[in-house]
Amino acid sequence: MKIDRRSFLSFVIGGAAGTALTPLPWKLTDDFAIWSQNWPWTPVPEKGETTYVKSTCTLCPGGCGINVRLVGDRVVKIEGIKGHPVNDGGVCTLGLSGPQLLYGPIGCNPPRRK
Amino acid sequence: MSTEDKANEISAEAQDQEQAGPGQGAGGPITLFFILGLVGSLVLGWVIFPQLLYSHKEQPIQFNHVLHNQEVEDGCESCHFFREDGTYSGVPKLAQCIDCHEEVLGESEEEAKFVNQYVLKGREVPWLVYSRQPDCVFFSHVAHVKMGQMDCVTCHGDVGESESLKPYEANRISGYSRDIWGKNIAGIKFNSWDRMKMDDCSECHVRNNVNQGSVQTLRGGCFVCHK
Repeated sequence: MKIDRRSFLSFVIGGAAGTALTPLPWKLTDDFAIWSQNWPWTPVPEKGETTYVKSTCTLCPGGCGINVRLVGDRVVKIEGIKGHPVNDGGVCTLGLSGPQLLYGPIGCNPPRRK
Repeated sequence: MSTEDKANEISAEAQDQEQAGPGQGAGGPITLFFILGLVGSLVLGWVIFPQLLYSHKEQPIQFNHVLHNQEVEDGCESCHFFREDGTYSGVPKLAQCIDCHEEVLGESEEEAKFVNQYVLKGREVPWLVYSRQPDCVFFSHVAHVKMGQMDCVTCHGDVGESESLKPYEANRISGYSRDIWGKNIAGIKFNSWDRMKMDDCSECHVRNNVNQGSVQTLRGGCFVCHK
């Protein structure tokens, strides 16, 4: 039996048809999509126990009730308190960006020397 | 070489091919090679690929759920309990195990290993969690078990009836546990606990209309879990 161009091509076409009938391309697409979203330099909260602290937002005079989610000592999310007379679960964009204001590098530095 | 010679050569080649017969010529090997490629890639995709994709890792200690379930009173919640503030304890910490296992109780080798290597040294057991969700997912057990009245089995299957822990399989590309995609490499599920991907959560959320009217997207409520 001679392996010529035609038989090689038919082997490749058979392989392509077979691959399309396996989960391989779809599963790899899914896995690479996940892989591309989890770069090591993407900041993610540390794994740990989640706790909540109820408080009042001071970023404007409104006084919304907020529920602050922490992992360890680190604030990871600010949510509104459901049923609160001011905001009833809602929270505005300024309140939502509280963690960024708290940890962001653009915040004003406190005085270093008296 | 003259044109005539070339023409003679071509006709000679054509005669050769005709002599070779139909089985050896155009039809036979081509179909054979097509089938070879087809079967080869099917074996690769269904059998070899899943074996290459997942790494196998044994749990640090072989744990017997059946044995423990017989000894405790509250079923799953005896060890996987809710704290008073509603947070969920998840996989038990060493402090809970020590309540009973301060010293070796039975004759099991695994228990002796557990007591000697972890209890006496005060080290936490590095359990490999099969159902660990990625960082982008917020999941609250209390919302599902207490408020939603769901059973553990609906998502976790019959873990409570297992006598040993299966090997932990991690996806080599995404790093996720195999239980998230499910054992079936094609992603087909037969039971509610076979898969733990987003579609499986949203299937139930859509059915029970859990915060479906998102203000931002006017579609499903993304921010129920991605918050």
